[in-house]
Amino acid sequence: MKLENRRRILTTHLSIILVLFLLQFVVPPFHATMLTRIMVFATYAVGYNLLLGYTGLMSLGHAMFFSTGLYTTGLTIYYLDLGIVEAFLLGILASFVISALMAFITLRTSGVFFLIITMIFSQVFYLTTLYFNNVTYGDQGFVLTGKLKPLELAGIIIDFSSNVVKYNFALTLFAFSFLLNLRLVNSAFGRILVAIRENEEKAEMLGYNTLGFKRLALIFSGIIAGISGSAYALIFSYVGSSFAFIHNSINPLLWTLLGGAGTTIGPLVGTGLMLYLIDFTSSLTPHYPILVGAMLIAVILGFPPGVVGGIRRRWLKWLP
Amino acid sequence: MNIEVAIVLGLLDGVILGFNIALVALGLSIVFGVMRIVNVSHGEFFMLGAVVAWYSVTLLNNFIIALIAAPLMVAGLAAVVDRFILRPINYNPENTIVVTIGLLFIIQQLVHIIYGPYSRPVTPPIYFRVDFPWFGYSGYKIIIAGISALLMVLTWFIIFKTKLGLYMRATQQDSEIAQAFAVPVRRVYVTALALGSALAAVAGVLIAPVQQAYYLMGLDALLISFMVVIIGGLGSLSGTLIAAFMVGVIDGIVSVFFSPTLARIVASLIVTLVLLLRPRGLFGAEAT
Amino acid sequence: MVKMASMNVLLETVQLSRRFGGLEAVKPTNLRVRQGEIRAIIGTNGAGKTTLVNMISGRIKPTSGKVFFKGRDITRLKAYERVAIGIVYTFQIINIFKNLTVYDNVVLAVQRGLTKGRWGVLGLDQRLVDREAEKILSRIGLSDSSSQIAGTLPYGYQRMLELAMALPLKPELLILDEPTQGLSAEEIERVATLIKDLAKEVTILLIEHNIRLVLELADTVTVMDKGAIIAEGRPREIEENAEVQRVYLGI
Repeated sequence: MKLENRRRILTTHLSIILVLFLLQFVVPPFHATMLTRIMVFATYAVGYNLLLGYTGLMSLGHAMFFSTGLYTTGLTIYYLDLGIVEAFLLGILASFVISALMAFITLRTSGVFFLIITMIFSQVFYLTTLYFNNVTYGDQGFVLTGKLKPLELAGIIIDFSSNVVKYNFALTLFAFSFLLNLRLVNSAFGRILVAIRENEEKAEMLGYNTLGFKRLALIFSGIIAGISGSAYALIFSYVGSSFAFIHNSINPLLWTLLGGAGTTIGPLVGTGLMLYLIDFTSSLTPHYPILVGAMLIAVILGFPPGVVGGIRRRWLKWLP
Repeated sequence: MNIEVAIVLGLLDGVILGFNIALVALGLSIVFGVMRIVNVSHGEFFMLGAVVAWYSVTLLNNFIIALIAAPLMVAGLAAVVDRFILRPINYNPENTIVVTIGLLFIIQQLVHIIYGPYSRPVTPPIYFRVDFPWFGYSGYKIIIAGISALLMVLTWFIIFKTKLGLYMRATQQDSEIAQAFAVPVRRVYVTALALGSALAAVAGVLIAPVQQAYYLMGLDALLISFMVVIIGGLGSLSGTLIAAFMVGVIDGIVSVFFSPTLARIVASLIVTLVLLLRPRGLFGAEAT
Repeated sequence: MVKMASMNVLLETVQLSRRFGGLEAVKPTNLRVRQGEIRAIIGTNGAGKTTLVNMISGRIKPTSGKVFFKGRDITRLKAYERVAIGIVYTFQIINIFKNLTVYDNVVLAVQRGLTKGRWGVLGLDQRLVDREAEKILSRIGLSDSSSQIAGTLPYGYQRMLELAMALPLKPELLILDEPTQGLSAEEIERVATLIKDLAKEVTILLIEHNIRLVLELADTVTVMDKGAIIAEGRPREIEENAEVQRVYLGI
């Protein structure tokens, strides 16, 4: 890859993060909250895209990864009075464990079977949260307000009930996932994932342990999704079964496709567009899922490469 | 009620459930077998059957009409979906999954808007008890079994004894060669989709008096059908049937001892076990 | 082309067979390929040639029998593990990454060839990879097309790309499955030259229908028919073998 391309790519990505950082100083509070939300879910989508867009594996079970982070962090704070840092780290650990487990169980299958089995596992997880609803409060969920103890970092008090803290925490996580993802896909590892997506048999005949790489991709993807779940618990202080339901697996699918699967910026764009669109429509009618459905069909029929995919194709060929 | 009777009842309920699941899963299997696609909105066609049954009973005081109207309406819907959504994307498997997910949302929400968010009971057309030595059993449920069995025989007949069925089997084997032999593959596709969806709709009509009609009931049916076709093997009709009864009976018996939620969890885990040990399903002949 | 190579057996199959349902595609077969030679396998369509080499490369599992490479039983090794020990297979039907650029195709092979072990590829020096890729591209003659999408190349170039991707993997046994299929006379000459060049360092197992090419290149020819080896020997001997003639020209 040419050096000037590398610089352009890095500059673009860093600029996006910079813009997101600066926006908090200029936008009204409503949009700041929207952006916080978008950044948390865009992190989720970035994780999802790694598996779908780059490795070519469609999962309908990512709600399970998201919820693992969500519940681990939420439950430990709620019942064990854990501090934010510990709860967050535990969330990451739990996501790793679940992702690794899934990687070894589900990746013996592929295609439709993989889709179905991820869906089933995710549904089992959802049902489990309902089954133990004396602990999890099921669909109703529970809130963490008042339980988030302020942190002290280098003499500064960080209080998670502050919107500034929420925004920048979300931004930090998003930036981390965003750049990590960029590093992964622009490396030999990323190239192998794409090879697996394009022609798995050939990749294997070139000597690549395709099963092993798919597992690694799933683990990365699951961990990032879990981190976004943990972040959600900390920022929005709410934990509920609805995040384990299948709709929360379909959401990142839509955001990724709309923004552009297989692009680094796509997930952010797709998440942003959809969340604003849904916010707008839900003020008109409670039946916004129709919009989600229509968007899914429209994207596939109308512009399969998604927004950023289309931009990459027509104008900015160097976008990763 | 002592435990043996409870178990027998659970078993019977499980068998009836198995019949119902079999119809839905059969529909899904036919669509996949012939068209090589998964229709994720398949469960919504099932739900539409139940909803049509409710309207039929409530507005027209007639249940039988639903048995005919629902499959016809759903078949018509399937034809529209095929023409305007599936054909433009050339039946691409991955894209089909995504668009049918979209379709799922649209159908679900439209029903939510028109029919409402509530689960409503549907009066069965007949109410009688069949008396066995130690207990009574709902006669209607037995009728469900009867009609389901009839439909399965009818489907078998269509697939194995008619020219249309021959076309479908040929297309399933190899659609390119079938085309070379002047099999009207496009028409076969839309017919298979219509047939499969209609089966789901009828299943919905039949089970409505037992389960009530609810706009979200399709998701559960979808998940169960998925489990069944995995265990039975995608594309294997006999496997699907056997698996349907297995799942139904397991669910029925486990439900005697545990809550339905737990029963579902157990059934799901069993499915995954099967999939891991035998990735092609118990009887599967199809490779992914 | 006679070689004063070692008499070491590089590859050996012992009673290797493969059934598909009721059809015995490859009957229990013993094949011995010597290190350094160019071995051609010829036979009519359906003789089992590709199935046999598929079992050697690991693409499919045998129904029975074993495969030995450098004296080691590799029957249980997966395909990608066999590449690591030096068995490389190029496809009969062109199987490249059609949607990626020529450059990306080659790089994928290069990065594999430059690293050891499963995860070694994760710590690779990008510039080294680029340099090696350039070298391969110019050796095969594809430098000018490097940023073109592979699927848009003319057929002959795609074939060359398929070959180009085998080289960086550092094969010891290179299995070429009908490498000249569909090529023009000029392109066939280029492939022949490449094979001769490669044969100096690599043992070659060549499936071919082009008999003239086989006679020109091969040290030993193995003839298969209906799943079994019916003749084996020097090209001249095979040419004159009555059984072979019957199979190819007869009823």
